Amino acid sequence: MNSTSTIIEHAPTGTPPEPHPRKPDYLNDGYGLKSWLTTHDHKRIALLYLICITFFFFVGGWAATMMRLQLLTPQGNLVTSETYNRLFTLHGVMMVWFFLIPAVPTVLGNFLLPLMIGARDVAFPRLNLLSWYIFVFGGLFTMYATISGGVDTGWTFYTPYSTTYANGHVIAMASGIFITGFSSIFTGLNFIVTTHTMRAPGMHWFRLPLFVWSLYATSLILVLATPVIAITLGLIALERFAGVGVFDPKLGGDPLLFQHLFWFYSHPAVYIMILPGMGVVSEMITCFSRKCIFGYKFVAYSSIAIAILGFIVWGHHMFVASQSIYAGLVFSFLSFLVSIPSAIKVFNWTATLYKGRIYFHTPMLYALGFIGLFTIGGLTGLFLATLAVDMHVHGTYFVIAHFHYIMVGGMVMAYLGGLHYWWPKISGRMYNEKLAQFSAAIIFVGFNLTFFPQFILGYLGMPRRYPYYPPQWQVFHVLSTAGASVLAVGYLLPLCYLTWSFFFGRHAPKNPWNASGLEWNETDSPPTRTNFDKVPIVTTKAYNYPYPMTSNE
Amino acid sequence: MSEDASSTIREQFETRSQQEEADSLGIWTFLSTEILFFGGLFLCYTVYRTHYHAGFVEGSKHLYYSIGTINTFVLLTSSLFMALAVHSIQDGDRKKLRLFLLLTFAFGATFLGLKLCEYYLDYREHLVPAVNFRPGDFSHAASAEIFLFLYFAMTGLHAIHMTIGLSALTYLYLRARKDEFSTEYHSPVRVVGLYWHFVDIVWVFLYPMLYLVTN
Amino acid sequence: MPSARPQRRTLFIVYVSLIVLLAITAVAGRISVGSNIHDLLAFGISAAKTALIVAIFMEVHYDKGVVRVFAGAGIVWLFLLFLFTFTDYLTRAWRF
Repeated sequence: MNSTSTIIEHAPTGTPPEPHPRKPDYLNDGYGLKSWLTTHDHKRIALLYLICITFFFFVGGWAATMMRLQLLTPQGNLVTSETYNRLFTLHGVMMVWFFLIPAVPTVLGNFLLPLMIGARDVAFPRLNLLSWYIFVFGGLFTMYATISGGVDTGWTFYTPYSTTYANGHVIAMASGIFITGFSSIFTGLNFIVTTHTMRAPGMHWFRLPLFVWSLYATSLILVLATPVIAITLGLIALERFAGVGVFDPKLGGDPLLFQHLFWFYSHPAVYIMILPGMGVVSEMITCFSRKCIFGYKFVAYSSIAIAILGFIVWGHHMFVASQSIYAGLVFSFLSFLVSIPSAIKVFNWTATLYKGRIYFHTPMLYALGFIGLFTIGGLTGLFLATLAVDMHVHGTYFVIAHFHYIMVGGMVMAYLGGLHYWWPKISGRMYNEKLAQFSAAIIFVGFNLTFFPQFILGYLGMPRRYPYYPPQWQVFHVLSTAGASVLAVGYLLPLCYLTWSFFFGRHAPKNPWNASGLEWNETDSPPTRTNFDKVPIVTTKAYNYPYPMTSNE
Repeated sequence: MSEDASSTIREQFETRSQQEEADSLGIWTFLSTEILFFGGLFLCYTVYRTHYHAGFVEGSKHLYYSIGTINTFVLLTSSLFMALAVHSIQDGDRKKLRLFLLLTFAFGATFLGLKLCEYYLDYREHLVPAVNFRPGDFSHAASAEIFLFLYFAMTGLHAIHMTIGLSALTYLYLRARKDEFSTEYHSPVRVVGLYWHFVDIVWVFLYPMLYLVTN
Repeated sequence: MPSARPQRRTLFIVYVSLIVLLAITAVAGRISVGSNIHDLLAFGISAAKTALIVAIFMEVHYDKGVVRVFAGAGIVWLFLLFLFTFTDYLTRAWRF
């Protein structure tokens, strides 16, 4: 019988013990492509996802590079306007559906959820593998649509342009995303059932790591929102194919009905993207301040609150779309409300840091960066939720800067932080700490240089999705493109050193950060095929750290 | 004959009751996704019905009310047989399980057969949008066409789900023939049963929405 | 897996009720009673049929709390979709 009652007192050193011979673990449990492609092991499936989403991230990143190069000059002629439209569509589609939505849940979530709750695997391992195959199939379909020439509607597929007038492979791309949606749904279903039914003895709901709470909240959204985008994409494909007019005003349809259906999913989708990142931050902040989270229940409940409230704010994307002004009032008010649970989390993370013993290892750098940048992005969301302000900044670079602060400054940094934090557990290797810290700094600088000027551009009136602009704004675009170059370097560095460390890095100890949690203390680095030798029995709360010194356990 | 009881507990579970709870929560979660999947179409329908009531009435009048009503009866009956199938295997009665699975399948297939005939008749009546819809037959042509588009989309999606249901029933029957189910272990029967009842409930709403729109 | 479950008799009673309800809607559908009453009646009967199927055929009446919450969640969320979309459609000053 194993218990997790030991209080961890040592500081995280990050230094591994002497090298040891390879014990049987999930990585060497069967070799060859077939053993990987037919695996039921959630950890291997996580790695399969990691490879795919890394690929999609760089496809989307390439599109962004092209866009930023185009925008270096006011009448930039790197690409035609037509091509530019296809580039920002590709960027949006790839980044939203093939990177941000899957990244943390399918990579870190798949790997860690069973470990964190003390289970051998998820509830439905074969469904888990099927999810990956569906994801790959949907991705290939979408890549086919892209390579055939792509789509120029924007990732939002607004009608009647997408259904009637667009030239491009709308049906193919919509079908690819439709297929991928089922991967999301099955993953969410798996996580929900796993969390309900597979917790180890003693692992009560309020002893779960907050990452599990955030995955659960994310899964609620995955399951309840994704089917609506599925049917909506099906409808636009059908409408484009058949020429009927559910969304076409010329035939009696209402284009706004499409927008209602689209955003009913796509707003909660942004919470799918950010909630897991918030969960990762909770884990990293506690470990690297050696302190239990401040206000555990508040953070847990706020994850659920974000998931629920996030469903009833979608109309804030449609304030200027000819939606009724009264609906606008309702959605504006609710959008203010939904910021509250996010703010609660930020306050609680900050309070966790207070009087903690802070260490600046790479994951902590990413976590701190997240808190600052997410806060800026979140606050600017309130600007946008204000009807009168939105009149002016809707459809401008202000919106772009807002969501990139959250998605890139927040979510991508959380993802990279989490990848670094659990890398020793996943790969059994240590990465180069100095290089990693350097990369984190590069990313932070590059990110702010890229996106802060965009707030100003948006305020000045630069519309989004335009490939040209008045010359007096060039300085901001140059800054932004320069920042993007730095950011690109920052992203390429981890790709290189993490991959290198996977094969050649120093072997990692079981718990290099002296962190709290079943995944650190009850499994090896990397874990065995079935995770635990014996079913762990949990007797303490999460986050068994030595601070604050006056124990409130 | 029945195999070793523990082999029906999948590797990731500790106990049978854990597995059953997981299966139950799993299928209900999936059905929730299905509610929202159909729900999008239901929303479109509701929005357009409130705006184009006259066109919807007109479109509905052109549908084959008798086939729709008979089909509703057929599907409800198949649901009874599905419930009886679950009930039988809960008692351990393998013969009745097979019988009721067959009956469920038969009635389900009848539903689909009648639906296909109805589609053919709809086609003959020039009711298919984008294919042979004749605006001249209607005084509210545009809105009637939207109604008919939704009719085909909703019943078509329902028919796809019925087909999946029939495949699942076939899978169950093949396993039942090998005596794989018992009082202790029949979770797949229950899971498919829940799916089948859900597809029935969708039709319970589709029937009045499509066939019974009057002034 | 509920240890309690409906009796065979209950299943048949529910079935007969469903058919009776079907008969009522089928007949009412052919009579013009005023559009609003008719819509309400039709929706109400569909809801009643659904309640019977969910509670008895799908055994939710005999299930424990967490399963009931899962069973209800989808319909609650659908309700949210309808409610907030209609805050737009019911308060517009224009027709599309």
